[in-house]
Amino acid sequence: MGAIALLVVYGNLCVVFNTDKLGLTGWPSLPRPFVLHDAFLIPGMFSSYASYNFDLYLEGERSRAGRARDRGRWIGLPMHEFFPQRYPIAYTQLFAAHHWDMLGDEGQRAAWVGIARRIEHRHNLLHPDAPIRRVRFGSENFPVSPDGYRAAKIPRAIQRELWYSDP
Amino acid sequence: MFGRRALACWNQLWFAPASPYPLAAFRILLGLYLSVYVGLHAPHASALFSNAGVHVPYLVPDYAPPPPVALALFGLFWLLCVALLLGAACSWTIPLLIAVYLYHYFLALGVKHSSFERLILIYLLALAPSHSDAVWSLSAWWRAHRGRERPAVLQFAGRVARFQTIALYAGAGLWKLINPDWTSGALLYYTLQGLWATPLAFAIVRLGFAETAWRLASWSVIGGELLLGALLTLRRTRLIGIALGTFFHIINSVILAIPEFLVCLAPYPLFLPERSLERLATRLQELSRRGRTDQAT
Repeated sequence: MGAIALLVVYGNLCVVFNTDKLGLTGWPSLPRPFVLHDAFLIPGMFSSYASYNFDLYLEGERSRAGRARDRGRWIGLPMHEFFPQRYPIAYTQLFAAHHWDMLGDEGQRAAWVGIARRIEHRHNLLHPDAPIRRVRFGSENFPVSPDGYRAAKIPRAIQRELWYSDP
Repeated sequence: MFGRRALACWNQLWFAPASPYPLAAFRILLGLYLSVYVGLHAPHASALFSNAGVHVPYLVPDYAPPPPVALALFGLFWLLCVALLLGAACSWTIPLLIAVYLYHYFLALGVKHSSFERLILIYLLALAPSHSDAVWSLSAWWRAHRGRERPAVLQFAGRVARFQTIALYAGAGLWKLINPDWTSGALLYYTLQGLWATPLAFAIVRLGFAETAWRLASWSVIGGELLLGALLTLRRTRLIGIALGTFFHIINSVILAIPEFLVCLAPYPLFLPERSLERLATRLQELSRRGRTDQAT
């Protein structure tokens, strides 16, 4: 029990008083191993914002098998079939938020490779008549508006951003 | 000499006897929260946790099992949350719940990178060795039925959870204080039109407040969080802290679509004066005894 108490006290102190985070560059910080930093990274919620809103898109390239009408073409995949939770949660999953923040671009990229494989596998399970062989996904960005999340989503304001595409 | 005194102080701080009632209230609130939170994942359990779904493992290889096994493990997860709520054999159900929680966390839940999921784990770690089922639980009822003694409850879990709660508010307030996006008001302005914003948040932005108003609102959030940490630290101001914290989390949940942060309220009974909950327990016992006597007559 003493060890748990020490862990909780030290873990919080070393993360909250991270001098780099507090803008005190050059000042000493308490040693903060990766595992401890990750486990106690609690005060960091809502520390950045985007000046645009976005919708996520998922697409799969149809293989040469199955129905004839869209063979070899990229087709839209419905988000809810792969990420059934509410939209902001689906965003954190597809973006691989934890991997991006803690493991950097490389960690996020590795997560995306795994996500793409699982999307392909699930789609081919759910739609055996229209198998896909490649996956790509990203966001369609558009301006924010006080009138609603998608109120300013008009075709000429949309910027498509590709996050990941299978080679 | 100094070492021995320091050790004695440390032991006194964490391992002195405590009232079992605040801890039981904490367990019940956390169990209620987890039963609902985990239960809401039920319709998507196969898509989230099985090898037929899309999960994003964090720091671990992909160990997602086939859907029937995933559903069975998820069912066990939920049942253990209910066991926490009801206080059923907590000395082994909570460690098991921690193991099952970590299994689901590293497989799929952790990708969200959320503070509330880290808090849940810390709260469970605090409760695991603490006899939180000493009262107001199935275990307590069973012990009374069998004429067994009530286990002693220590200060440990209460102090850990209280420390964590104070660190949560003080830390979040401090990090916002040094973040220029917060102090300028820009972060709040855009957040209330962004991904997590509810219709109420958009309606607030539509009122067209000036930049100064957004800065003031931001500073009130920062000040509120820092103040909350201080109010909950001092014994005399804890009741005000509880009221302010409850208000803060309820407002948060209607402006931003993250009711998950209501878990922060679970340890609040630990900030109440110990005797107030004991008095409540005595009154409940009297009422139940009177009810039984009335039935018998």
